[in-house]
Amino acid sequence: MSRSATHSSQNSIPGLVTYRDNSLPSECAVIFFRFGAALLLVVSVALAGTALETRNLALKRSLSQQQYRMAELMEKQVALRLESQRLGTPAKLLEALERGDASLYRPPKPQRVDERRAPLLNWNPAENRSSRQRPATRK
Amino acid sequence: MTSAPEPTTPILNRARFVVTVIGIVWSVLALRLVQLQWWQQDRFADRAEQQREFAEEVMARPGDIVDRQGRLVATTLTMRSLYVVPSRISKPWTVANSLAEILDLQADSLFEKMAERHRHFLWVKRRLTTAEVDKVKELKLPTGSWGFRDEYRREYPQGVVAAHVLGLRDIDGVGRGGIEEGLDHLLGGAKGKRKLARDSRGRVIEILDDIEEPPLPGQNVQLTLDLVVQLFAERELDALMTEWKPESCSAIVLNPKTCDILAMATRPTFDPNHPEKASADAWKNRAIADIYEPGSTFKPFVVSYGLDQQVLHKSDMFDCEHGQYRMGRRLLHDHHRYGTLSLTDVLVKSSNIGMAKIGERLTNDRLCAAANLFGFGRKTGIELPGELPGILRPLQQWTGYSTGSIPMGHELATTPLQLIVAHAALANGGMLLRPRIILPPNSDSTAAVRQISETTVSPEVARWLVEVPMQEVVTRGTGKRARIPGYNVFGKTGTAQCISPAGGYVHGKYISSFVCGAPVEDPQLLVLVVVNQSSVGGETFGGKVAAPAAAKILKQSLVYLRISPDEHLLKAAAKWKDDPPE
Repeated sequence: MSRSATHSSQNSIPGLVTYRDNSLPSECAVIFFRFGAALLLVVSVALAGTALETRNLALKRSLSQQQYRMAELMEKQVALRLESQRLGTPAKLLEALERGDASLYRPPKPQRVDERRAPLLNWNPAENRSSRQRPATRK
Repeated sequence: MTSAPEPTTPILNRARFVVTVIGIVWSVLALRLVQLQWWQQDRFADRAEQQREFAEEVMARPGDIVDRQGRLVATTLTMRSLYVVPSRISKPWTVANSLAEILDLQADSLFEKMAERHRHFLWVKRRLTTAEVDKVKELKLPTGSWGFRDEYRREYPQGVVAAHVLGLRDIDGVGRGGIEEGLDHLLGGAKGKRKLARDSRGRVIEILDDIEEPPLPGQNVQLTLDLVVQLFAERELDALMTEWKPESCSAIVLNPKTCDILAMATRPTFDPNHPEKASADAWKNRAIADIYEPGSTFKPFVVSYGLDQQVLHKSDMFDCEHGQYRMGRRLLHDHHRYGTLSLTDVLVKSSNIGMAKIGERLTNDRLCAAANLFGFGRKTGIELPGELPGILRPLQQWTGYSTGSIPMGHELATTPLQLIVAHAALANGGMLLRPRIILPPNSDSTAAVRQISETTVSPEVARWLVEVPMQEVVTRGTGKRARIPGYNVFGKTGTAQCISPAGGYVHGKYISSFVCGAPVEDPQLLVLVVVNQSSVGGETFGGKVAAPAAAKILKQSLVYLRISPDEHLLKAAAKWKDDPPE
């Protein structure tokens, strides 16, 4: 043991035992190292936490922006689809066809007997809807 | 060593008192702290959260409506609506004046509303255009005193076409009339909820991430309507309104095999994009909510039931008494003085006396059974709201008059839809089907429709009625104006006097109707046109007023739907055109 305990002499408080540290530099270094390491650890954890939080916020912001852009694009799609449908309503085209303004060949009699089919444009694709179904408990 | 002087008793007492008081105060505070932080923690935490957070409803986007070919009929746009907070506006007149100028509003009335300082919310204008939104932003109004809210606006790109079938959505997004109301539970979706945080003054400071309940967008709905066929019907109704100036008219086109409604039109009508311009009589869908006596269009049902019950035979002859027949106290007349007519000719010539004699043979019991069997007096069950069941009195209330009146299509009232659905039963071989205007998803087959069908008369009877008497109505009877080159058409005219609300009939006012279909060999389309009270042309028979319009709708629809004409008939028609018979 490097420490030696001595009782105080005349000026000291009676009964007080003082220790003399014979290996002060090395002990201090260890203590400071431990303290520094602990501090470093705490700071590192804090910095890592801050970095993660920053990254998290950046991702959230990016996600939010993407959702906003998606909503804007969908709105634009709706507006454009509406405009195209408005321009191509049967009420507009049929009159032009019958007046002869539109240059479309009109057969004297039906050439095909199968049913007419135009592609359906759906706002919500079926798979989207099925994935967005509300839980059964909520009504 | 000198000791410190002992404190006197009063000082000690005071010190003890102060220490005791401080101790008691600290103890009370400590206990209160324990009470707040431990016993009542949950309660206060909840209250704090309630004060800080509140839930806001998030509107769901209504689904689109498309026709059977996928053409867009109704959709939804997101628009911005402007609101202000009057309690935070220091200069209401300046704000009101500047807003009124760019939004085309009355500055005075806006100022009056803004001047009410106790108000915390006021809509200035809803559903602004993009240009109006930009102009409002340029005004740079005081922060916190105004804002935009996103709202949905329903758009109907086809305008007035099929307006009565669609109905509309009001400014709050609630369906009013037509499909919009009838299928609001599907189209409207489900509103969601989101949480917002506010400060001590109630201002929203954050939209919290966790959405309490996401909004569920409305489902898309596909109609059985075909907009081109619908347009044919609407154009003919417009022409009818111009030519005959009736109070109203309506038309229905359906496929008799499935009872899919391909067109349903009514005049007068309205534009769902501008409902404020509609007249008061334009809102009613007369195809399902107008009742009238069917007149002669009812006669085929009586004859078919009589044949099916073997009370009548195809070879039966009826003495039509040369135009006058006394039935009890009642004197019946025909428009022409017919002698003896065959069963077919009774329908072809639409003889009232012949039908009265058929009524005498069937008696009231069977007449009532026939009317019930073909669905008169009850709703058809179409998905549209506001359908009327018509009028068919209970058998107990029938009299001797009924025996003569019912076979002529009087003493009962029907909607145009009921009538065409009953005629579809004859055209498809005797099956009374529930009409539909919503196309089911692909997984559903027409078998689902068949399950709610009922047999009326045998297929043989139904076929004979369509192929012989009803076809001859068009070739040589009252419906000659409905002939279409290249197609064998069947039909039946009807002319009935208008029922007066006070009882009895209105003299000189008629409801003319015509129902027709083609091709006779395999009926694919059925058209009904009903014209209510034409104001020109005197006695407006169904064959004169309604038949040409119905035939035009039928012809255009047949060509559009690629239903091939008969080559022999086409050649015959061309030959007849080149060299008409004298």
